[in-house]
Order: sequence, then structure tokens, then C-alpha cells
Amino acid sequence: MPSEPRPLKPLLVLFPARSGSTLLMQLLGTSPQVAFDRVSPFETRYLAFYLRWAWQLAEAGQRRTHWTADQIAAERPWAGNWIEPPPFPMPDGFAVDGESPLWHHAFHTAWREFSARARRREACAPGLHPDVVWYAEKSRTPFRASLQQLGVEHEVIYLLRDPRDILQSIWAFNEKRGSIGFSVQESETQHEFAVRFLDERRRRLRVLLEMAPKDPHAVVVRYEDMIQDLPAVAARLSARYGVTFDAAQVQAQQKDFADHMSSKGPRASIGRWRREMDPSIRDLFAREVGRELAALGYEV
Amino acid sequence: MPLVPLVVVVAPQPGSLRPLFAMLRAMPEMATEWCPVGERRVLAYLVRHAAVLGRALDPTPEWDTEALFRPPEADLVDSRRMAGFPEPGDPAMDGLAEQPFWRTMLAANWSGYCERLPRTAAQRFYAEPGSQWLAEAMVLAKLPYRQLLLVRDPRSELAERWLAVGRTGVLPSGLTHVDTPLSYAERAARHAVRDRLRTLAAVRDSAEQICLRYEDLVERPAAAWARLRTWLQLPAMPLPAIPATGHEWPTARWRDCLQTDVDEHYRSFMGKELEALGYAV
Repeated sequence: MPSEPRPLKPLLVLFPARSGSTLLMQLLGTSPQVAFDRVSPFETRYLAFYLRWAWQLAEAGQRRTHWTADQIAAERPWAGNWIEPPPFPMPDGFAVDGESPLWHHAFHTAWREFSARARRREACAPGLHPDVVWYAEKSRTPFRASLQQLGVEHEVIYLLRDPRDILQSIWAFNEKRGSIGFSVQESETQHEFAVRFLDERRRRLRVLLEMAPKDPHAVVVRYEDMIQDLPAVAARLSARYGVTFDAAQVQAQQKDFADHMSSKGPRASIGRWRREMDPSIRDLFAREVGRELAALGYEV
Repeated sequence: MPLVPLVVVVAPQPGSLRPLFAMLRAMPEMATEWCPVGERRVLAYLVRHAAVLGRALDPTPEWDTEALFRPPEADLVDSRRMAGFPEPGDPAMDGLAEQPFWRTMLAANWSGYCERLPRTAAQRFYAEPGSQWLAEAMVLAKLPYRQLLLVRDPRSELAERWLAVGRTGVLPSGLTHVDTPLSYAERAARHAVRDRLRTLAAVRDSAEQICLRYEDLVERPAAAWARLRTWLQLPAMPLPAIPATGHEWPTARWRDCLQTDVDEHYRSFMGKELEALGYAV
């Protein structure tokens, strides 16, 4: 009897906004052995959804006033109502000493089922490889802790980009689309936003400096490397993950993703802070994260 | 083997479930997590939980692609709410001609729950009160189930409700200080009550479904016990001693509490339906 295929192995792309995550997903999407929905900007997060879905079962007893046992019984579930954790104390069958909790079971089953369906879908599509191994998803760091708790083997790609260019890209992209995003507040000055931005960014840079090099399941990919030598990045990731990524395919699609860019071209997006950034904000970066930037190889 | 759900459907009649569940608990083959205080409706919850896999919702300000970047941390109240997957047209869930994802997951979670529920080797059923939709969900999910429809004389329910108001001073939903038993009976969902009685009177026992009179349960418990066991295809056994719950209302009791005009109201409005269920009018 053939053994059940292994569930897809999650490949988490951990990234700050405007750091090239969409470009990296394009590259990952060139391999037919990497599953995820090829719909730009590649943010259909099945893994996060199933985690949150299963997690509901871990939270029994978190009662809210509008979500009661009576409501559960009274309302049909087919109208797409919200769900919350069970509003009753943890029932006996949800967690038993010596046995994994029900939410672990729910997640693992859902992930196995999703993997099987993803494989069948890939196999049904002409030209795609039936031996799908990976599942890639743009994610956030805390999801790693959940996967570790569940005992799910996974790999991580940390995206790194000069934070000064990220900041310039955020402002340029907001201006281009005529709306405010990326947690920029309407009432604050650029300097004030830069101070907030740096608070968060400092922590991330330290993770990249201190934690990522020691993590055997993590790799750092630089935005600047992707722009300047995508074939080299593709070769490096291909070797690491045992599949083939095709940089030429991504480069051929460049025009299709022009809306996603905020500079005149990919190369112009590197070092734009030198041309565009207010000197007082440049000084702020040098003062606050100069050491980290230098350690990561960026000019200060 | 997963336990077979026994869905107990009863209209909202205070106290009706307790004697039934006391009897069900006395069956060695029956598991349940239901209790009158702090109700645990595990099966209903698991159905709702699986149902969010069954359809994608349009994104809302609270539930969109960004919401899925928020980790499932216990200290974030907002992160506890979720609905269907925000991307419509999800090919992984329903794009293939195979068992829908929600159905697979409901069966898996029910099985996982039953595996984790401390139970004896004899236990084969799991009893939980629920609405009609719960049985319909079992059909859609293709899960084996049994459904017990519990019917009770509405005059008895009215009398019990009225006595409870006198005893506790608390007005239940739908009652006002100026109400009398008659005004309440004339107003409160009388068409719904009559229609329900009519539906129940038409029910014929089958392998999946049985209609049981509350009054038989409390007045002739040995016969009700035997009938239930036969229906569940369980071996005959004598009725064990079941502790009283304080909610056992014999048929005659409401006659002492309700005035003639109330009785007349029921007789004229739903006498045929009451008689069809064996209630004296």
C-alpha cells in the first residue's frame, strides 16, 4: 500500500513592506514544485487561515457577549457567520493529558488535506510538476512560533532591504496611488513617521544580525541582490530547496508588475535614499541604526 | 470509532431537557457533555467551525487579507474572530469534484474529538440538544446521526413559565408585567407553536428519527426508556434509578395552574394538533 504523501512543507517569506516580497514570490512561483496561488500580489494565505481556524479550538471559554452557546445552537452556520472560539469551558475532548490537543489535530488534518488537494490541482494542470514539495506564503514572524508549537517542519526566507530605501519607497508608493498606507498617519510629519518606523526596524535588523545566521532553517535574501543579479539568487535558492527557479521568466514579466513599483526602474530603487531622503532623516538613521546597517554591509 | 451524534431537538421550553438528559446519562452507551449550566454544545460548534471552510466571504474591514497577518495570539481579542476565507474562488477547497473541504474537516474534527473524549468502551452515542439545522448539517456532512424530537404539551410549558415568574420575580423574554397567562398565550408565537405541533404529529419513527413525548418520559419512564433503547438498537435493560431533576411535570399539573379561558384558547386554536399527539383537550 503506498504511503501517504508528506504534507507540503511551508516556506515562509518574512518581510517588511516594500522589500521585494512580490518579486521573490514571482521567483518562487517559477517552480512548479512550489504551491501557492499565482495571483498578484500573492497574498492568499491558506496556511495562516488554517492556523487561525484550528486555533479557535484552543481558545474555548473566551466568551464574548454576542457569542454564546445559545447563539451557536440557534443560528444556522451556512450564512457565513463569524466564528469565535467556543464560548464554553474547555470540553473534555478538546485536550487530554498525554494526547495532542484537538486544535493540533485540526490543523494537521487540514494541512494534509490542503496539501493533497494542492497536489491534485497541480497535477491536473498541464505542464506543472506533480511532485509539489513546498508551499510558499508571505507571512509574519509570530506564525513561526505556532508552527514550531505544532511540530511543523518549515523553512524561512528573511527579506532584507536597506530600510532607508524602504522608507522612501513607502512614501513614493503612497503618493503614486494617492492614498495612505503602511501605517503612515495623516497627521504626522515624515520625521515623526521615520522615528516610529525606526523603532520597529531596529528590532528586525537585530534579528537578521543575531538570530538568522544561527538558524539552520532560515536564509536571508537581499532585495539589492535580487535586483542586481536575480539569476544568482535563483541559483542559490534552487540549490537550497532542491527545485529549479527561473530568473529569466521573472525578468520577462517585469512590465506586468510595473504598477507595483514606485521608482523609475528596478535599479533606480537601490540607494534612492541618497537622492531623495531629507538630510535630517538620514542623520536619524545613522544615529539610531548606523551600527546595524554597517554590520549588514550598507553604507552609512 | 466516532460516536454517533444523537441530536435532541426541542422547542425552547424551560426544564424539558433535564429529565431527558438524566435518562440518557443513565444509559451506559451514551456520552454527553451537555449540562444545564454552562452549556457545552460541542457538535454544534464543530459544525459552525467547519462551515467557515465551506464558503468564502467578501472582505470586510475586519476580515480581509491583512487580518491573516495577525497571529492567533490569545491576548488579541480581535484575532479571535474569523469568518470564511477572504479570497473568493478558492480552487483548493471546491474546485475539484471531490468531497468538500468543510465536510472532510467536520468528519475529521468530530473523530478527533471523540478520540480525545474520555469514554468507556460501551459508549457509542453522543447526545446534544440542538436545533433542526444540526440534523440537516449531519445529512449534508454525510455523518451518521440520530434525531430525537421532544414534544411537550404547550399548556404545561406555559404553566411552568408562569409559576417560575411568580417564584423568581424575573420576567422572561416576551413577557410584560401586564400580561396574563391568556394574553401571553394569545400573543406568543401561537402560530409557530401550532405549526410545530402539526409537524411533530406527522413524524413517523424511523431509524434516524423518533418523536418522544415529554409527559411519557416523566409519567411512564420505564416504557420511554425501553422505547428509546429499542430505537437506538441497544439491548434491553431495566431502567436504573434516575435521580429527579425537579423538572418533572406530569400531564395533570398544568390543569391546577391555568384557568379555563386559557385552556379554551388552546382547545380552539390547536386542539386538533394536541389531540393528534395524544394530549387531552
